Amino acid sequence: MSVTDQAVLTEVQYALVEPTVDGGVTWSALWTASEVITALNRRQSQFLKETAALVTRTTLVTIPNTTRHTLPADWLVTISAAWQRPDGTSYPLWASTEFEADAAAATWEYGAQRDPLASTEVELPTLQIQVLPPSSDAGQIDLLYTALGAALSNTGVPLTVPDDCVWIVKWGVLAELLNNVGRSADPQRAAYAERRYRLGVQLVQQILIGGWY
Amino acid sequence: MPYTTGTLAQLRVQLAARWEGSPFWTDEEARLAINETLRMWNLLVGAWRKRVVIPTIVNSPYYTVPSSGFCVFRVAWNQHPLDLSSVADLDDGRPSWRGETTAAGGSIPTSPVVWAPLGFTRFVLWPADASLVNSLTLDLVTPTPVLIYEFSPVDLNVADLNVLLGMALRLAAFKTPGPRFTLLEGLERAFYQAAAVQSAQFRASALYRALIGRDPGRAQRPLQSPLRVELPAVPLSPESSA
Repeated sequence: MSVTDQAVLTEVQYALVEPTVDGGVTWSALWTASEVITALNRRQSQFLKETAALVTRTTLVTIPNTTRHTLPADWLVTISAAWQRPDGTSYPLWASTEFEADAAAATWEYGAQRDPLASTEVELPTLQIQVLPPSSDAGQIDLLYTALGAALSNTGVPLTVPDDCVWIVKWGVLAELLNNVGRSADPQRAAYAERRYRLGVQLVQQILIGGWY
Repeated sequence: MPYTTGTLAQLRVQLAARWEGSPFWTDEEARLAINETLRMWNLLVGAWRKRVVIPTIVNSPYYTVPSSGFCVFRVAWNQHPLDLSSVADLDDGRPSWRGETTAAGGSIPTSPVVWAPLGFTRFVLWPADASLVNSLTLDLVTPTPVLIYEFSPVDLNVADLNVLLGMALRLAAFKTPGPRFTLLEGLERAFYQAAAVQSAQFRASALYRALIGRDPGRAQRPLQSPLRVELPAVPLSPESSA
């Protein structure tokens, strides 16, 4: 992961025929540097969330008889959560909802048992995960998740995206900039750029599911 | 297939030869278009590959892809190829997979049997290897070579060069909206078709069919010769109708 935000913004400036090409520092009246950087950050996060191209592993220490636990600050989306008992054995926590638990066993919140059965991130404050039912044991949550990328600007920060996938993010940025309401709107090219972004996302998803043969 | 090692300078000259005398892009834009095309090509077909051998990690199912690789596409344990799976499948089919090792006994195999990618940079093995002395052979797709200097080399199949340059031309033309960009659509289609020849996975995908789209010339080629119906000759005279 060595391609920087400046390199991507340079390509964006070339594609938009900006009079000055300087790593995304100077923009003509059609776009501001701030809106371009926002689009770049947004598309980087969107790419990471949609593809799960980079997966982070962490363990969350839990408190017995408590259902809600704090997720890492850089959490974007959960790939898989597992309950790890104190003896080291673990098993997956199925993705569920409070609604499902309420319908199945109304007292689930107070009926602690050794091993929770499921987890949910629905109907919770942000950056929290809940286990259903609460565990009476001091287990851990073994979490595989997609983390937020680096905060990009126009100062040479490397993207948190594999180098071979950076072109996908670039087309996403172009789609956003050409889709603005105003003089910069170019629906035809915006649609093409969005198609290229989608193509890249689907390619990555396909590779990670089906391999490369 | 004959392979050749070209340089950025050679590719750029060939790209420039396909456009008018005063091109609408700079040398730097041509370089960026060539690099983006190569990266797309690598993502589509896994063009650049290598093999590395790493020792197994005792009792851990989690592995990191070596930094020389972009992604793993095949794993062999002591030269025995492993089946491709996914973390979701392991969670569904073998809920306790995270803690299982080859020394656990019972229904657990005595050697790893499946691997599953975990994004591009990690993968998992089931069951985890409990021994110190084994190795994994990883077939990797390597990062695309980035052409920076005029003499930067790239290992390319000469047979694909034309479609790659065509795609670079299409990408470079994005900055000029209108007919010039639209007219180059065929080059992009040819690029995907060439990728489909090399990658059965891509060729079989719904994504490929969506990219290729409807054949615009299809309506001009009827499925069969026009239907000709021979009607029996019926005498239409006042005598016969009476």
